[in-house]
Amino acid sequence: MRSLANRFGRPALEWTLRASMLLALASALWLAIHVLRERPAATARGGPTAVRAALTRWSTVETPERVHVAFDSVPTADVRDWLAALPAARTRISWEGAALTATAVAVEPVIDPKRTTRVWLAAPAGSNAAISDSMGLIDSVSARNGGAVITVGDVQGSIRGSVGGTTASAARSDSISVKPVLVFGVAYWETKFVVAALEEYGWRVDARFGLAPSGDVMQGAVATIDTSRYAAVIALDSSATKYASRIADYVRSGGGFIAAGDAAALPAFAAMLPGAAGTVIPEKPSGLDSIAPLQSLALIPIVQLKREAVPMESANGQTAVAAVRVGHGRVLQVGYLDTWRWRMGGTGAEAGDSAAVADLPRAHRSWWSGMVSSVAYAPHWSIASNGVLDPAPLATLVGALGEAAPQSRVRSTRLGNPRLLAALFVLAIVSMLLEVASRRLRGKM
Amino acid sequence: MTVRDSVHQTQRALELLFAFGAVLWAAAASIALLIAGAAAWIVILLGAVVFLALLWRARNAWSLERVALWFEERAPELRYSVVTAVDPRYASILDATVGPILERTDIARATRRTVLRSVAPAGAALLLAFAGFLIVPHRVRIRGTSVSEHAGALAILPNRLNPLTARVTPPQYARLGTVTLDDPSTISGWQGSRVQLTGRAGWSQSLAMTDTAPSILRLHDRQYTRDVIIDPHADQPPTVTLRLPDKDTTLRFVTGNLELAADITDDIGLGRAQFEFIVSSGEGEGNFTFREGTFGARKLDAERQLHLAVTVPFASLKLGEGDRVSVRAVAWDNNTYNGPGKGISETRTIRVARKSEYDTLSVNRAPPSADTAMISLRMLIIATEKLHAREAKTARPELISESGKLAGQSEAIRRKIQQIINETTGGGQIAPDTLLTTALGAMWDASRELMIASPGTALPPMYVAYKALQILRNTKRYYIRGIQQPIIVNIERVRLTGADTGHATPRGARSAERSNLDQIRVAYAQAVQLLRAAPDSAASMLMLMRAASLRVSPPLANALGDAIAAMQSGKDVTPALLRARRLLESAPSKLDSIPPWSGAWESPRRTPP
Amino acid sequence: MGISAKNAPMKPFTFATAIYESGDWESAQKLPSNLIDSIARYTAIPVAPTGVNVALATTEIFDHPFVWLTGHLPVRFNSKERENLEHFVRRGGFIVIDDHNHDIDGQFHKTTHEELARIFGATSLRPIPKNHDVYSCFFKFKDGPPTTTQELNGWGDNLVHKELFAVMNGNRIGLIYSSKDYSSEWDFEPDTKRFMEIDPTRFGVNLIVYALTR
Repeated sequence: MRSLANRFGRPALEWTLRASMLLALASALWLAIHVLRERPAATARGGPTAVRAALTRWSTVETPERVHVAFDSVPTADVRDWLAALPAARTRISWEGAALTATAVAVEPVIDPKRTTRVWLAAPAGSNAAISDSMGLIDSVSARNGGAVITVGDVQGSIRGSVGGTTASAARSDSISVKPVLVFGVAYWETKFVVAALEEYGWRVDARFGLAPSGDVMQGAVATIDTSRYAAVIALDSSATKYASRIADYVRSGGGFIAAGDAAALPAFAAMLPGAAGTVIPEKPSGLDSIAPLQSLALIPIVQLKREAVPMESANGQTAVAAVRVGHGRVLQVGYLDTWRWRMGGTGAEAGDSAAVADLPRAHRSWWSGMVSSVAYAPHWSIASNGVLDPAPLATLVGALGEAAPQSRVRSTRLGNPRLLAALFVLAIVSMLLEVASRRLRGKM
Repeated sequence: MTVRDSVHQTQRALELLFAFGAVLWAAAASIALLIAGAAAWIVILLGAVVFLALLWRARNAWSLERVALWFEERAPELRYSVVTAVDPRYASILDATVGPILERTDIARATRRTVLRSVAPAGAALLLAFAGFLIVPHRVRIRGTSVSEHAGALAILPNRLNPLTARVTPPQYARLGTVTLDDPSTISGWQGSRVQLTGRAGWSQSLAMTDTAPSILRLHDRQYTRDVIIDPHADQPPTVTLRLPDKDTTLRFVTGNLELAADITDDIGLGRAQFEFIVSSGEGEGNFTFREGTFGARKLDAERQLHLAVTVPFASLKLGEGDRVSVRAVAWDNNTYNGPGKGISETRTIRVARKSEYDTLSVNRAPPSADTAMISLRMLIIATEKLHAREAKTARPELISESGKLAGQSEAIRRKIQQIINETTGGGQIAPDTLLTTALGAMWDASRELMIASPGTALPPMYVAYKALQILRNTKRYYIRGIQQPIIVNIERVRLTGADTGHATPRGARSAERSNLDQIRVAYAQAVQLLRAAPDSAASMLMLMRAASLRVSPPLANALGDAIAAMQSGKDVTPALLRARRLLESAPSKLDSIPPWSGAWESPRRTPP
Repeated sequence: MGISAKNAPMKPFTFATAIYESGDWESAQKLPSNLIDSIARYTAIPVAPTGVNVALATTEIFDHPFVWLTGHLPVRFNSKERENLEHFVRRGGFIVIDDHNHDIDGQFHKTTHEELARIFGATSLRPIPKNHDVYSCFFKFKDGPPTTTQELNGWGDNLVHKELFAVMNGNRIGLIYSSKDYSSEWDFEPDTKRFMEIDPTRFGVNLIVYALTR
């Protein structure tokens, strides 16, 4: 008599084995079809030429299911956009670029009559950056603390900032209307030479030289002080006191104000200024130092700086120039006294320093103009820029392709595992063999 | 002569005739092809073809029988007797019969007609072709195209502006030889020089360098142009240095001689030189009188260097108390073109003291100038200030070393001041000036402080010494005749008490500073933009810029010259253009970090607090 | 801490007389105080009560952008004086050179012209037109430079010099040359001004106002 196991268990086992075999075969068949239908993955590494060649293949003769690109330099806009279009063709992309440098460039018009341009470059600390325009290299700078700023005279076309293998490009996208500057001061050398410096630089200047009760020396009408008329107001001494409230309104509405020399110590302007006036430090007895002329001048140091104030220059360990925002406007407090001595040369500028003294008026002009530009108000309007620009290439790349992911972290699907097919085949064979063995041995056990 | 011989003779003539005709036609055809501008091998080939074709056409002349038939054609009365007679089978039989008949026949006339018909047209064609060759213009003969399509044709005409030779002959007064320049882009020479330019094919042009400013000479040859910069140099006036007297002097007694000496140099050649003097006498408004004169005048023969010296007895100047003699050396060069150029030396003044001034004034030679001591002290102060500024960050051994060096300089200045004291006091015979003693004492203190490596405490005595020397220099240098006490105005008392009232008028604006480089800057931007699209135009602009910058900025002119040379030789022009750009624009101002204020400027010496 | 405008160190205008080697630079010793007095009388310009003497050959000259130079004797600048004078004018200083002789072809005039031609160029000295700003910037002088009593009394060359001459720096006067002998005209005690019907120093005020404001 056959045992119960033989009567009931064995056929069940054999059926199970047969079912298992059929299931494994069916799965293997399905998997084989899936694998045959599945498109391969592809990888490209290297520079623009290699990536572009790979893209051409992927878009024509190959249709990979997914691709991975390892960049050694930031791709150009067309390559980037090409890669970004691949997912629409059912090709998934991933990328990496350990050597890529994060760089960004911005171009800002300086508010001055000479169409000066300021180029802001964001770059890693310690990196060397080169700035160029369509005419070629402008200058190079070693960046620290997040980047660098270069101010250039005239630029042609777009500006490019190159750091490592990454080049960012931008162009002046807005134009400005430079308005006149208003200067208040008594008839004295400082007023004369500040006005002269600005005019010689190219600024239009309205001025009031305090002279006599019968009348002051005027240049331009000083009726309205507002941002539609003036880019900045400069006060050099107490003659501007009677305009203090109008100047305050002007600054709050966006205008720029410079309180220099004696005006930097006037109570009438104290509320607007970045700090308080310290004790006067007299000029150096040895006279003007042609290497660092401002260090030799008499100074009203700026002390007790407000929290939001920004120290801009120092002399002999004291803050000499500081800036602060007031309302919509900006205010500069200048503690140097008699900056005209710098222009005239003064005692101490001996023949041994002839190279440095040769162009004192020009240096004086540029410095004063720079200070005015730093606070001046000017309406901007946008201008169209030609050409393809890429002010932040790495950021744009991330925006187009997503975050970088090293290839080792790219997950593949389980179905892609080539061992699965082999395992199914083995399962089918084993199931079949076991079933056959079971049948053969059924009567003998 | 047998009939056969006769026919043979005519055959020879006809052969020669037709050959000659073929030659003439071939020649005419060849010349026609030359006029049309065909290549030489085509001319020869076609000529040969024509010749052979015509020979082939006249091949019957080489057959005796055909020549005999030619006879028959022209003399039908012969009734084919000549043709039969030339047949060797019948020649011996018919010779006797046909011979006389042949002699009676007028073959010469036919022959003459044949000659005319064959040779005349060929000759006429040849004459026509030859005439055409002489008359038709050369340019049409070069190619088969018409004159209006000559661009391609004329392009093969050589550029007569390359190579170019310039011979520069300086003005006669310069006595310099002619200079030859091969293929110059810039022709430099003295103002007044003559320049002779010669080029290919023997053309020549002369011009004169009359201006002082560089200019561009544009040469045209058909569609070719060439720019050359003419860079004239002005003849500089002589440089005159007065050696004696070496300083101003005040004399108590007018005895002895006045020694005058000067060194004079010129870039081309001197013409004459002399010493000039002015004697001023008198005192007080309206009482001054002046006498002028010269000493040691010499005519020169274009020497480039001269040491002029003369001794003048003081007695010849007839000087009195209070008189002043100003002397200087003057020289003229030989410039006959736009000169002569005049060079003038410094002036020295010899003063004769008045008796009334003896007590208050040192009437010996003026004390040695404290200038050098002042300049040295100035440099020492700057160096000490810099050391003091970094004193806190400097290691002590290094501070001692550097301060020690400054102490050495301080000591040298102190010794100089001591020397001045010795000289002015006659070795201690009279009391020294208090300013000098103040300076001396201050430098003692400064040296001591520096020796103990304390630059900060050395500075105050240095300032004291500097101030003292400054005052001394001003007061001791000049002859002060009774300076009165200045009147001190009581400002507060007189403030705004004037009877008149002035009224200030409006101020007009100053003109903006214009640089000589502004226009060149604009042209540079345009030239760079044209580099790719129109390189010839860009090269011309660069040439104009170079000429404009020769006087204004020689380094810029050099950079532009390098750029032009690079363009002409096909090299990369970028490095030279970048150099030019740097020179045209002021150096960009840089901040090596992102500033906290967007309008930050590059200060003359930025040191953040 | 802080200082008020009252004690802010507003430096006053200081009248400077140029010291030069070759001549009698000190020949008009009351002129500085006279012009200082006039500035105080007619304007509110802060002014130092006494003048200073500054050597043209030193860099002190650059501390005083207004300088008066006069004399009777021949003017022969040394190289440092020449260099400083050129820098002084080109950087924006204002210097008045006045012939104390009131001469043409006198030695001061001839030698000064020679020096100025050497420094600034042969054609640098140009006549100042009558309608120039310097003749009207404070007091009005319709006929150009006011005539001096020296000219009217026939001292010197017995001529009335109708024009002043200038070396320009851009569109501004940097140097004035005068043959009118203002050094004699203004060389008197300031207090005697009150006895004068017309103050002759008013043109001096114009010169200083021009220098300070143009």
